[in-house]
Amino acid sequence: MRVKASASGINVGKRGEVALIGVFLAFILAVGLLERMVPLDFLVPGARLGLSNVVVLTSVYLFRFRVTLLLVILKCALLSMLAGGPASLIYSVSGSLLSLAAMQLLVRCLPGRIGPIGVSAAGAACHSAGQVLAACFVLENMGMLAYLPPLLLISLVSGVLVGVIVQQTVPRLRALERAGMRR
Amino acid sequence: MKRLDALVIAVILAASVIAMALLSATRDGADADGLYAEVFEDGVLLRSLPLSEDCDDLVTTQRGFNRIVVADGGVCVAEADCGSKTCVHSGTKRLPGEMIACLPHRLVIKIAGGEAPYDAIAY
Repeated sequence: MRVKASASGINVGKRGEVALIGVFLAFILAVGLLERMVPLDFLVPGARLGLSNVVVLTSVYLFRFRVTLLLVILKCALLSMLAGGPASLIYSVSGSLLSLAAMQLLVRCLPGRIGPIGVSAAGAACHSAGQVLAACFVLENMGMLAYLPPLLLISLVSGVLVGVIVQQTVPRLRALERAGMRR
Repeated sequence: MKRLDALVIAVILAASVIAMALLSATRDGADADGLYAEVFEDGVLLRSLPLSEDCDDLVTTQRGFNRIVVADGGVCVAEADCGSKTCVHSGTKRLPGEMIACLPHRLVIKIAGGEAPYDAIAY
Protein backbone atom coordinates (compact mmCIF):
# COMPACT_ATOMS: atom_id res chain seq x y z
CA MET A 1 0.00 0.00 0.00
CA ARG A 2 1.23 3.47 -0.87
CA VAL A 3 1.27 6.02 1.90
CA LYS A 4 1.36 9.56 0.60
CA ALA A 5 1.11 12.89 2.34
CA SER A 6 -1.56 15.25 1.11
CA ALA A 7 -0.35 18.76 0.39
CA SER A 8 -3.53 20.55 1.39
CA GLY A 9 -4.88 18.18 4.01
CA ILE A 10 -7.52 15.49 3.71
CA ASN A 11 -10.48 16.80 1.74
CA VAL A 12 -13.48 16.03 3.91
CA GLY A 13 -14.78 19.56 4.23
CA LYS A 14 -14.41 21.97 7.13
CA ARG A 15 -16.89 20.22 9.38
CA GLY A 16 -15.49 16.83 8.55
CA GLU A 17 -12.05 18.06 9.49
CA VAL A 18 -13.21 19.43 12.86
CA ALA A 19 -14.93 16.14 13.58
CA LEU A 20 -11.82 14.15 12.65
CA ILE A 21 -9.61 16.33 14.87
CA GLY A 22 -11.97 15.64 17.76
CA VAL A 23 -11.82 11.90 17.14
CA PHE A 24 -8.02 12.05 16.85
CA LEU A 25 -7.66 13.98 20.11
CA ALA A 26 -9.95 11.57 21.94
CA PHE A 27 -7.86 8.69 20.58
CA ILE A 28 -4.59 10.29 21.70
CA LEU A 29 -5.91 10.85 25.23
CA ALA A 30 -7.28 7.31 25.51
CA VAL A 31 -4.04 5.74 24.31
CA GLY A 32 -1.95 8.12 26.43
CA LEU A 33 -3.89 7.22 29.59
CA LEU A 34 -3.86 3.48 28.85
CA GLU A 35 -0.11 3.66 28.29
CA ARG A 36 0.46 4.92 31.82
CA MET A 37 -0.80 1.55 33.04
CA VAL A 38 2.05 -0.18 31.18
CA PRO A 39 5.15 1.17 32.94
CA LEU A 40 8.44 0.16 31.40
CA ASP A 41 10.35 1.47 34.42
CA PHE A 42 12.17 -1.84 34.75
CA LEU A 43 13.87 -1.14 31.40
CA VAL A 44 14.61 2.58 31.79
CA PRO A 45 13.06 4.81 34.44
CA GLY A 46 10.14 6.72 32.98
CA ALA A 47 10.04 4.81 29.68
CA ARG A 48 6.69 4.43 27.92
CA LEU A 49 5.47 2.83 24.72
CA GLY A 50 4.62 6.02 22.82
CA LEU A 51 1.73 4.46 20.93
CA SER A 52 -0.14 7.78 20.80
CA ASN A 53 2.36 8.64 18.07
CA VAL A 54 0.18 6.46 15.80
CA VAL A 55 -2.40 9.24 15.91
CA VAL A 56 0.13 12.07 15.58
CA LEU A 57 1.88 10.51 12.58
CA THR A 58 -1.42 9.69 10.89
CA SER A 59 -2.32 13.33 11.37
CA VAL A 60 1.00 14.41 9.81
CA TYR A 61 0.06 12.44 6.70
CA LEU A 62 -3.57 13.56 6.54
CA PHE A 63 -3.77 17.10 7.87
CA ARG A 64 -2.05 20.44 7.37
CA PHE A 65 0.81 21.21 9.73
CA ARG A 66 -1.12 23.65 11.96
CA VAL A 67 -3.81 21.05 12.61
CA THR A 68 -1.23 18.52 13.75
CA LEU A 69 0.57 21.17 15.81
CA LEU A 70 -2.72 22.04 17.54
CA LEU A 71 -3.35 18.35 18.17
CA VAL A 72 0.09 17.87 19.73
CA ILE A 73 -0.17 20.96 21.95
CA LEU A 74 -3.63 19.90 23.16
CA LYS A 75 -2.31 16.40 23.82
CA CYS A 76 0.52 17.71 26.02
CA ALA A 77 -1.72 20.12 27.91
CA LEU A 78 -4.58 17.67 28.49
CA LEU A 79 -2.42 14.66 29.35
CA SER A 80 -0.42 16.61 31.91
CA MET A 81 -3.69 17.82 33.45
CA LEU A 82 -5.24 14.34 33.45
CA ALA A 83 -2.27 12.27 34.53
CA GLY A 84 1.29 13.54 34.57
CA GLY A 85 1.01 16.72 36.59
CA PRO A 86 2.63 20.07 35.85
CA ALA A 87 6.17 18.75 36.29
CA SER A 88 5.71 16.39 33.35
CA LEU A 89 4.57 19.15 30.99
CA ILE A 90 8.01 20.42 29.99
CA TYR A 91 9.22 16.90 29.17
CA SER A 92 6.19 16.02 27.07
CA VAL A 93 6.21 19.38 25.25
CA SER A 94 9.92 19.25 24.41
CA GLY A 95 9.75 15.61 23.30
CA SER A 96 6.53 15.99 21.33
CA LEU A 97 7.50 19.17 19.48
CA LEU A 98 10.96 17.89 18.50
CA SER A 99 9.38 14.63 17.34
CA LEU A 100 6.68 16.44 15.37
CA ALA A 101 9.22 18.73 13.70
CA ALA A 102 11.33 15.76 12.63
CA MET A 103 8.38 13.76 11.30
CA GLN A 104 6.85 16.72 9.48
CA LEU A 105 10.16 17.56 7.79
CA LEU A 106 10.80 13.94 6.73
CA VAL A 107 7.29 13.50 5.34
CA ARG A 108 7.27 16.80 3.42
CA CYS A 109 10.89 16.94 2.27
CA LEU A 110 11.40 13.32 1.25
CA PRO A 111 8.00 12.31 -0.08
CA GLY A 112 8.01 8.86 -1.63
CA ARG A 113 11.55 8.15 -0.46
CA ILE A 114 10.84 7.42 3.19
CA GLY A 115 7.92 5.39 4.50
CA PRO A 116 5.96 5.61 7.75
CA ILE A 117 8.30 3.16 9.49
CA GLY A 118 11.37 5.33 9.01
CA VAL A 119 9.48 8.53 9.83
CA SER A 120 8.04 6.99 12.97
CA ALA A 121 11.40 5.60 14.12
CA ALA A 122 13.04 9.00 13.64
CA GLY A 123 10.15 10.72 15.43
CA ALA A 124 10.35 8.32 18.38
CA ALA A 125 14.12 8.86 18.68
CA CYS A 126 13.63 12.63 18.62
CA HIS A 127 10.93 12.33 21.27
CA SER A 128 13.36 10.54 23.61
CA ALA A 129 16.14 13.00 22.80
CA GLY A 130 13.88 16.00 23.45
CA GLN A 131 12.81 14.64 26.82
CA VAL A 132 16.32 13.78 27.97
CA LEU A 133 17.64 17.18 26.84
CA ALA A 134 14.81 18.89 28.75
CA ALA A 135 15.76 16.87 31.83
CA CYS A 136 19.40 17.94 31.39
CA PHE A 137 18.33 21.58 31.44
CA VAL A 138 15.76 21.32 34.25
CA LEU A 139 18.03 19.29 36.53
CA GLU A 140 21.15 21.17 35.36
CA ASN A 141 22.85 17.81 35.11
CA MET A 142 24.28 16.70 31.77
CA GLY A 143 24.72 13.22 33.26
CA MET A 144 21.05 12.63 32.41
CA LEU A 145 22.30 11.95 28.87
CA ALA A 146 23.27 8.49 30.11
CA TYR A 147 19.57 7.60 29.99
CA LEU A 148 19.38 8.35 26.27
CA PRO A 149 20.99 5.24 24.67
CA PRO A 150 18.69 2.65 26.31
CA LEU A 151 15.70 4.95 25.71
CA LEU A 152 16.64 5.15 22.03
CA LEU A 153 16.70 1.38 21.79
CA ILE A 154 13.22 1.04 23.31
CA SER A 155 11.88 3.90 21.19
CA LEU A 156 13.22 2.15 18.08
CA VAL A 157 11.12 -0.92 18.81
CA SER A 158 7.94 1.04 19.54
CA GLY A 159 8.71 3.46 16.68
CA VAL A 160 8.81 0.64 14.13
CA LEU A 161 5.61 -0.82 15.58
CA VAL A 162 3.89 2.56 15.27
CA GLY A 163 5.13 2.87 11.67
CA VAL A 164 3.68 -0.51 10.76
CA ILE A 165 0.31 0.53 12.21
CA VAL A 166 0.33 3.91 10.43
CA GLN A 167 1.05 2.15 7.14
CA GLN A 168 -2.34 0.50 7.61
CA THR A 169 -4.35 3.43 8.98
CA VAL A 170 -3.52 6.15 6.43
CA PRO A 171 -4.79 4.38 3.28
CA ARG A 172 -7.96 3.38 5.14
CA LEU A 173 -8.64 6.97 6.23
CA ARG A 174 -7.96 8.13 2.65
CA ALA A 175 -10.87 5.87 1.65
CA LEU A 176 -13.06 8.11 3.83
CA GLU A 177 -12.11 11.02 1.61
CA ARG A 178 -13.03 9.13 -1.55
CA ALA A 179 -16.35 8.02 -0.01
CA GLY A 180 -17.11 11.64 0.89
CA MET A 181 -16.47 12.78 -2.70
CA ARG A 182 -18.91 10.26 -4.15
CA ARG A 183 -21.71 11.74 -2.05
CA MET B 1 9.65 -0.48 3.72
CA LYS B 2 12.00 1.75 1.74
CA ARG B 3 15.76 2.01 1.78
CA LEU B 4 15.71 5.23 3.83
CA ASP B 5 13.53 3.51 6.45
CA ALA B 6 16.16 0.84 6.90
CA LEU B 7 18.86 3.50 7.06
CA VAL B 8 17.05 5.41 9.83
CA ILE B 9 16.58 2.22 11.82
CA ALA B 10 20.22 1.19 11.34
CA VAL B 11 21.54 4.61 12.42
CA ILE B 12 19.43 4.71 15.61
CA LEU B 13 20.27 1.10 16.44
CA ALA B 14 24.00 1.65 15.92
CA ALA B 15 24.06 4.91 17.89
CA SER B 16 22.27 3.47 20.91
CA VAL B 17 24.20 0.18 20.99
CA ILE B 18 27.58 1.90 20.63
CA ALA B 19 26.71 4.48 23.29
CA MET B 20 25.53 1.78 25.69
CA ALA B 21 28.68 -0.25 25.11
CA LEU B 22 30.84 2.81 25.83
CA LEU B 23 28.87 3.60 28.98
CA SER B 24 29.10 0.09 30.36
CA ALA B 25 32.80 -0.10 29.46
CA THR B 26 33.52 2.95 31.59
CA ARG B 27 31.54 1.45 34.45
CA ASP B 28 33.34 -1.90 34.46
CA GLY B 29 36.34 -2.42 36.64
CA ALA B 30 35.67 0.57 38.86
CA ASP B 31 36.72 0.15 42.47
CA ALA B 32 33.71 -0.46 44.69
CA ASP B 33 35.41 1.33 47.60
CA GLY B 34 35.46 5.09 47.83
CA LEU B 35 32.11 5.51 46.10
CA TYR B 36 29.68 8.20 47.09
CA ALA B 37 26.02 8.75 46.37
CA GLU B 38 25.80 12.42 45.52
CA VAL B 39 22.38 13.98 45.90
CA PHE B 40 21.68 16.99 43.69
CA GLU B 41 18.69 19.28 43.63
CA ASP B 42 18.54 21.60 40.60
CA GLY B 43 22.18 20.76 39.94
CA VAL B 44 23.26 21.82 43.44
CA LEU B 45 25.01 19.18 45.54
CA LEU B 46 22.97 18.64 48.72
CA ARG B 47 24.70 15.60 50.26
CA SER B 48 27.42 13.14 49.58
CA LEU B 49 26.74 9.78 51.19
CA PRO B 50 29.54 7.18 51.30
CA LEU B 51 28.24 3.84 49.99
CA SER B 52 30.39 1.98 52.53
CA GLU B 53 28.28 3.27 55.44
CA ASP B 54 24.64 2.29 55.72
CA CYS B 55 22.33 5.21 56.29
CA ASP B 56 18.72 6.27 56.02
CA ASP B 57 18.43 9.89 55.02
CA LEU B 58 15.29 11.94 54.54
CA VAL B 59 15.96 14.65 51.96
CA THR B 60 13.28 17.31 52.13
CA THR B 61 13.08 20.10 49.57
CA GLN B 62 10.38 22.63 48.88
CA ARG B 63 8.96 20.24 46.26
CA GLY B 64 8.65 17.24 48.60
CA PHE B 65 10.66 14.52 50.27
CA ASN B 66 12.72 11.51 49.15
CA ARG B 67 13.90 8.92 51.66
CA ILE B 68 17.32 7.83 50.49
CA VAL B 69 18.65 4.58 51.92
CA VAL B 70 22.23 3.35 51.61
CA ALA B 71 22.66 -0.35 52.39
CA ASP B 72 25.03 -3.12 51.25
CA GLY B 73 27.08 -0.74 49.12
CA GLY B 74 24.07 0.45 47.11
CA VAL B 75 21.70 3.37 47.20
CA CYS B 76 17.98 3.51 46.57
CA VAL B 77 15.01 5.78 47.13
CA ALA B 78 12.85 3.89 49.61
CA GLU B 79 10.03 6.36 49.70
CA ALA B 80 8.99 9.65 48.07
CA ASP B 81 5.90 11.81 47.85
CA CYS B 82 6.26 12.58 44.15
CA GLY B 83 3.55 11.69 41.66
CA SER B 84 5.24 9.16 39.43
CA LYS B 85 7.36 7.20 41.97
CA THR B 86 9.80 6.53 39.14
CA CYS B 87 12.68 7.19 41.56
CA VAL B 88 11.40 4.51 43.95
CA HIS B 89 10.90 2.04 41.09
CA SER B 90 14.44 2.67 39.83
CA GLY B 91 15.68 0.22 42.47
CA THR B 92 19.16 0.01 43.96
CA LYS B 93 22.18 1.49 42.20
CA ARG B 94 25.76 0.58 43.08
CA LEU B 95 28.00 1.30 40.08
CA PRO B 96 29.80 4.61 39.48
CA GLY B 97 27.92 6.78 37.01
CA GLU B 98 24.60 5.12 37.71
CA MET B 99 21.79 7.48 38.61
CA ILE B 100 18.38 7.74 40.14
CA ALA B 101 16.36 10.74 39.05
CA CYS B 102 13.21 12.16 40.57
CA LEU B 103 12.03 14.57 37.90
CA PRO B 104 9.07 16.05 39.83
CA HIS B 105 11.40 17.00 42.72
CA ARG B 106 14.28 17.91 40.37
CA LEU B 107 16.45 15.56 42.39
CA VAL B 108 19.29 13.46 41.00
CA ILE B 109 21.24 10.87 42.93
CA LYS B 110 24.45 9.98 41.18
CA ILE B 111 27.14 7.55 42.19
CA ALA B 112 30.54 9.19 42.02
CA GLY B 113 34.07 8.46 43.12
CA GLY B 114 36.49 5.67 42.21
CA GLU B 115 37.29 5.87 38.52
CA ALA B 116 35.19 8.75 37.25
CA PRO B 117 33.01 7.44 34.43
CA TYR B 118 32.19 9.36 31.23
CA ASP B 119 33.80 12.60 32.34
CA ALA B 120 33.24 14.04 28.90
CA ILE B 121 29.51 14.43 29.32
CA ALA B 122 29.30 14.89 33.10
CA TYR B 123 29.35 18.68 33.58
